[in-house]
Amino acid sequence: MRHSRFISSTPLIAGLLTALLFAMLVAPLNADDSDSRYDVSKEVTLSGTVSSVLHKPAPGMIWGSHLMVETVSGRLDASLGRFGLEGKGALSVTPGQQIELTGVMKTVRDKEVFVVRSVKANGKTYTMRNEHGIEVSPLARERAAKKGVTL
Amino acid sequence: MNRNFTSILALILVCLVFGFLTGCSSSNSSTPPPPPILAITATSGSGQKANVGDAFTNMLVATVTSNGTAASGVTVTFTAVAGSAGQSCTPSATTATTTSDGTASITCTANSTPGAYSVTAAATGATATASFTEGNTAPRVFVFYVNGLENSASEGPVYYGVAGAVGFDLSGNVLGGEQDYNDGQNGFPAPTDTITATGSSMTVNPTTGTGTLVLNVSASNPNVGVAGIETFAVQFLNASHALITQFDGSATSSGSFDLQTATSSAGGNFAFTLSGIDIAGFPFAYGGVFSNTSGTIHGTYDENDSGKVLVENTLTATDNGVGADVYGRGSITGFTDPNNGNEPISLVYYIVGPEVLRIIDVDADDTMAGSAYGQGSATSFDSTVLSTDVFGIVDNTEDEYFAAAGQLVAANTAVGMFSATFTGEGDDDENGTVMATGTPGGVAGNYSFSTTVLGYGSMTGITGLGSIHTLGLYATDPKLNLLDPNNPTAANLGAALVLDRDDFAQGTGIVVPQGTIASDGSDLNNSYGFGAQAFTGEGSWPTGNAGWEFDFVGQGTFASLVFTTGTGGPPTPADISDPYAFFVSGTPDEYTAVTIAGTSAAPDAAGRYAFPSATPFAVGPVGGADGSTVDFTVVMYEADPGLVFSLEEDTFSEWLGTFQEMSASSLKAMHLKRGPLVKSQAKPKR
Repeated sequence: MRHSRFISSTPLIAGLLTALLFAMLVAPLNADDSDSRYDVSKEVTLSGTVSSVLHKPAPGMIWGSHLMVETVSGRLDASLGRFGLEGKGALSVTPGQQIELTGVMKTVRDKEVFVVRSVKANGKTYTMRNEHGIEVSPLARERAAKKGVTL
Repeated sequence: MNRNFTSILALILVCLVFGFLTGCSSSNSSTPPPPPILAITATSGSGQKANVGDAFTNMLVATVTSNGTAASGVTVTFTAVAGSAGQSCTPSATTATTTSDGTASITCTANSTPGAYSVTAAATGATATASFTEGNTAPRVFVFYVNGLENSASEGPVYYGVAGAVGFDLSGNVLGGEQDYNDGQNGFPAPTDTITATGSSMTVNPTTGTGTLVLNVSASNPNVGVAGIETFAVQFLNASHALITQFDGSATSSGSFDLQTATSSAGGNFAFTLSGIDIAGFPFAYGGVFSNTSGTIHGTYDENDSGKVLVENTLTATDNGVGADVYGRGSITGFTDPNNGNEPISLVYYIVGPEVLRIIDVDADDTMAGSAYGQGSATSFDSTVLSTDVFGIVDNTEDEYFAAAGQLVAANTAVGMFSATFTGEGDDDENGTVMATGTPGGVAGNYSFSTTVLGYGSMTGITGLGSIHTLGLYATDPKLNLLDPNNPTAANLGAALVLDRDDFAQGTGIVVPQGTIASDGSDLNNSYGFGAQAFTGEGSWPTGNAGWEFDFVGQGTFASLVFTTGTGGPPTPADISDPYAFFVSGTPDEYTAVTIAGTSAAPDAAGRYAFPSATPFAVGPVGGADGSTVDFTVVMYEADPGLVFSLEEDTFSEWLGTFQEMSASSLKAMHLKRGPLVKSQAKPKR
């Protein structure tokens, strides 16, 4: 059975819920097709349950892999970028799994998409994009790991 | 008997005494003179270059001295020491005797292999030898560079670049060459890969200009290409310029292949752009200007490192020159990466001509490829650099975020004024989302050039072009053809290079002047060579880590806005490099003789052409007669009849490419080996 839940800390729950609701409400107004810029100041963190894993985009989606995530506010299209599920050290999740996402809600081609910067799953944080929204490749992941750098 | 014995004994004693006395006398009176010190030096004739098979102009002269004085009658042995590719020369004599002035001379004739090597001279009795450095040159050398996506064995798809030079004889046979290949992580950088004559070739159809270049570097680097054999599809536009794409499944890329007109002196003022991947594995790009005075480089440059933009960085570096290299390969040290702790960036360049350098970063962990273009004799670049221009910008393939093209019309420009405004129209595809679609007057912004740094400028406040809001702008010689540097008679000469300074991507591109546009599209009634670098959202190979680029080159004609590949019938000369299986899911391949056809609408006032959905830019069938045909949404911006930018803007892919007018008469003068006619679509053996 699919379900969603908020992360455990109550104050954090409230904050995240507020942020999520705010993001969901204002996204259609603030995010438009005129700019691909990743605005880190608009980042929110939310949690949900993976409903499906798309290694390739479905028609109409932006490029790269996606997770469909059931959240308290409904189903979310979470864009992981080209490398999110590919290469060494990539995220691996399955439907039904609980995850936490940090990113920015945008509207692309008249559809809302959550541009994911990081995913928390399996007790680990996976970085999908840097603070400017540039996708993190397997090579960049590997080099960061060798240096002990957190992306 | 006793008398005889006594006589002999007496004689021996006398001899012994005499010998003892004379020996003492000798040792006590003077020390025998030391042997003369012979020395040999290379007096003249070193540093020469001669075409393969030709004798060097000047004799190789060695001088022998004995205790500092010219020594005559000494035998000198001359020995040519072959280089790694077998380059050498044949001495007129292996020995020569010094004359009264102490000199011994020979002539030497270059063998059939280009390259630098030494000739030693040894004198009998001298402990050291003299050395001459000589070089064999090819009658014709082409400099090439590409950048694109390699299928790394360890990391999967990753950015790579190659720059090099290949020499030909007058019959079109490859004589040799060298290249620098770098994917920034697999350890393929310098030392230079040697291109050997054996196993290398180029075949070209003199009618269409389409051909195949095979470079064998297996002896020095078996890791690149297919076991060290690199294959490129080439599309000649004229005898000195071709578009190329790697075509062997190991990688795919786009670049240029140009006749070399100079092999030394990279001095002067330049603008440049480079892009690649940094030491952290992220995409990055540079743009800037520099002056090179006797090897001392000073300049100013901008860096966009995966969204972290640092502008007006000071460039202080050293051009180490070409030295003995016969292919115009030089190096630059002292360049740094300010976004990564000023990590040193080691660059190698290949000289195309006095004003064009192909540049590659040869560090082990980072790599970039790009070009530097001269600024000519200009002493100032002001707002008049731009007038009515077209531009094309494409992202680094590692980022693959966008491709854009359009027209700019500058306003309020004046000599001595360094800032102005512009309007225009443009198209911009960002990851399959069309952000701008050629709205007349829909693009606007400001631009300016520095009053103190020659040709260093920027475009700011750009609106109407998607996420592109700020560009670095670097002025070039207004008499220089940026795409076909050996063709100075074209109309689209100059004007500037650009670097995207926004934080969402790091594209590079060019801005060139636009001429008058015929409203009926008749400007395009020509034969064109074309090519493009495409980024896709739907690569399907390798499984689990799919790549995202395909590239193509080919030849076709426009007639009343109808485009067809070839000259009206088979074969259809278009080659598509698709190692990441965009066209046929799960099946990477290189496709030859692909048909492309479409009909464009007449241009608008900005020179924008569009292929409507009813008559799209249709590519195929691909993969055989029963293969699929892919309809692409393509727009074009015309600079002039000789140069048209193409931009593809579908949800599943985007590309930036060019159509460049062919010169058929020039092609027939190429004397390159004729390639086999392609009678049907064929797949090369993998």
